[in-house]
Amino acid sequence: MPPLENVLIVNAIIFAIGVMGVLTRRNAVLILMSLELMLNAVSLNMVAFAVYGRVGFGNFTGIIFALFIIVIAAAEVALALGIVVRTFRNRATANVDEINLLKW
Amino acid sequence: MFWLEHAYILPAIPAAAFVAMFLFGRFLPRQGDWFSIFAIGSVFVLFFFVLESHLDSINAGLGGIGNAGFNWLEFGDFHLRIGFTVDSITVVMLGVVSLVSLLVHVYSVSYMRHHGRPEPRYWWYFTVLSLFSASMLALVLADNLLLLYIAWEGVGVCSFLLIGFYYERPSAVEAAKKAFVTTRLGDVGLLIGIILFWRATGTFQISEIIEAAQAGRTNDLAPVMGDAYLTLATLLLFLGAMGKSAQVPFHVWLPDAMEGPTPVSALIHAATMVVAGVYLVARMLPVFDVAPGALELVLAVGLITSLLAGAIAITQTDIKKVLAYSTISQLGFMFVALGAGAVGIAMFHLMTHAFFKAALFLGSGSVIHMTDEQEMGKLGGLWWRMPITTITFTLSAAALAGIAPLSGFFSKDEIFSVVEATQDEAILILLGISAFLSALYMARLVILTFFGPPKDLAVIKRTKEAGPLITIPLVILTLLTLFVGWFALDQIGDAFGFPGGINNYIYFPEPEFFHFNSGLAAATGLVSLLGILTAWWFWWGANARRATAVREFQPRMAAVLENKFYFDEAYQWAIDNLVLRFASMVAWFDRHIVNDTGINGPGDSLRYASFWTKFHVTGRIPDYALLMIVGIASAGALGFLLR
Repeated sequence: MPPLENVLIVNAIIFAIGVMGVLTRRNAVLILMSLELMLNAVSLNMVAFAVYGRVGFGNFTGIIFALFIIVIAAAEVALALGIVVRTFRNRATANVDEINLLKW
Repeated sequence: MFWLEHAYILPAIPAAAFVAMFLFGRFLPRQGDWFSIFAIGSVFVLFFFVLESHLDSINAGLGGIGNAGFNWLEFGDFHLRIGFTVDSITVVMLGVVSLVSLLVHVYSVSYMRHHGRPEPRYWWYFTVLSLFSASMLALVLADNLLLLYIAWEGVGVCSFLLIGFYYERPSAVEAAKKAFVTTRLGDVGLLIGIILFWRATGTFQISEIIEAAQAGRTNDLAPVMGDAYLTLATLLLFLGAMGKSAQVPFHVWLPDAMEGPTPVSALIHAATMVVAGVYLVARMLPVFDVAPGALELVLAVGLITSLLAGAIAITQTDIKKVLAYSTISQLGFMFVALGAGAVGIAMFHLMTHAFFKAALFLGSGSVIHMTDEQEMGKLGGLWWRMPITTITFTLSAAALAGIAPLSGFFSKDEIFSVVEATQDEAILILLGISAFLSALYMARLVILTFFGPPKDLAVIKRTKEAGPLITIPLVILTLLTLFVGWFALDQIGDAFGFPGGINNYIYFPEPEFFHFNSGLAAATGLVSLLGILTAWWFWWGANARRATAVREFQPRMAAVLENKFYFDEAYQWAIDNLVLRFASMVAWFDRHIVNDTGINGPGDSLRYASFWTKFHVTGRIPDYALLMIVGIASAGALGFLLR
């Protein structure tokens, strides 16, 4: 197995790609995909720590957490995609720059 | 014995073909149809290797059972195993699935074209067919309920995609949705049943669950599950089987599923996917056997379904609808056999039904493809225009009606003999009525479609026999229909080199000897003949006025049958009046209580409180995201520095 540090570096890179995607993309669907990338990086971290047995977690806590994150990510995508679809129906756009009513 | 341990290669081939077709199918020459055909064709060839290994293993006294698998998940003591097993039931199913699937693939090359031009999404059609073949093969090979459930949903998705293949038609979209939601209702039961079994036994392995269910009932150990618990879990499993196999009251999706392309109806909605429920119950029958009341319910559901669907089929005017109701009715027959405890007989009827019903659907597809009509009111007199289709269709219909010596006669007779041996007279008589109805509606279908005077001359004039890609699968299936039933006779098995009858091999390790009961066979043969004569009396040529007269004599009864016992209307009423009314109550609560008070309340108060400080907020989502990320990152950095 590769050393834990390498796995963490890969995860950090994936996470950073996700962050950049969320910040720079304008299409709501692509932002959601970047968000998923961030979530996956986090779950990978959890699994990595569980597998390498570092940190005071019990052996399965990390894996269980990863499973929970997957479930929550699925629920979140269902919700968020629903919102995007409704927005698209109403405004004929999925560009987040034009969806700017969430303010005072 | 290599192939007993490596049977997982069979579903892996079409699965790989699915991936390749999904990615590259539309760029391949001929949109990749040859690729899917090659995949399923190699599966069909490999099936013979599996069969040979299986027979070798039985002859060597090893039981003919192979198993292979790996641990998918491991949490300490908890193992999740994905495994594949081969036994006699699996071998029968593998043969049926790979053969019918191969024939349907070949047939579709011609059917899915108009004037030689492929239809839109031709590559997608073959892609989904590959996925379906992979899922169905995995379903029959699964040795644990979890993999079975995954494959179960896989075939469900393929069914959904192919029913909705012509999604430009609103009716096809509706039908696909209806099929998916209705089978889902049953699938929820199946999932809960699987979880209940897992909770009691800690395993998904079918063999271990069967052992656990039998423990305490067939030996002196303490039972693992109480009677009530076991019955509940078993009936929930059966709910899934009812949904998939379109048993009353879940049968409403199957007739609508005829919106899909006809070869799909032959493969998925006649020969393979809809028998998954029968297969599941057959696989789990030892559990049903020890669960009090479960077998009786299976038998009752099968009997009611076969009677209701048979009665409805008589009044349908669309060729494919008649065949759909006939499928439901025949599935009911299989459940009756299972309810009587006869796995081998149910699987035998499953196999014969797969061949003749696939032939019937492909034959109806030939008619629809060449005439562009599927209403019997516009057909008739096709026999001299489409001789091959007429002969194959008529022979297959006769097999379904139970005419000796075609395959349906033998398999139905086996069901009758086991019911006679184990059940009440009343059940036997009801089953006889159902067999009479089968003969009646099949004969009516054949008469109105192929014989009598043509009802629409324009249709007849433009019709000719279909091409070889369509007729060759028809002929192959009809030949199988002619001969496969004879295996029920022990002497034939002897002649083909299976000492003691082929059933010793097919239904190993518990061969149920097929008691060919000549008295009963004569009776069922008479019932079938009577059904055909009745159809002739009512619908042959000018006799049709008699059918009209009966219809006018009893208009209310005719209306009940033509409206399919008002199942759809009842469900629509329940959805409108119960589900939607409840939903509107929930919506009111959400809008007025949750939204106005719970969400807008704090929001409004914040809005008024922040009147002078709120204008730095832009409303742009990326700005919010940036603020969040910068905030979290700086909080993290602060924590790191102050650690």
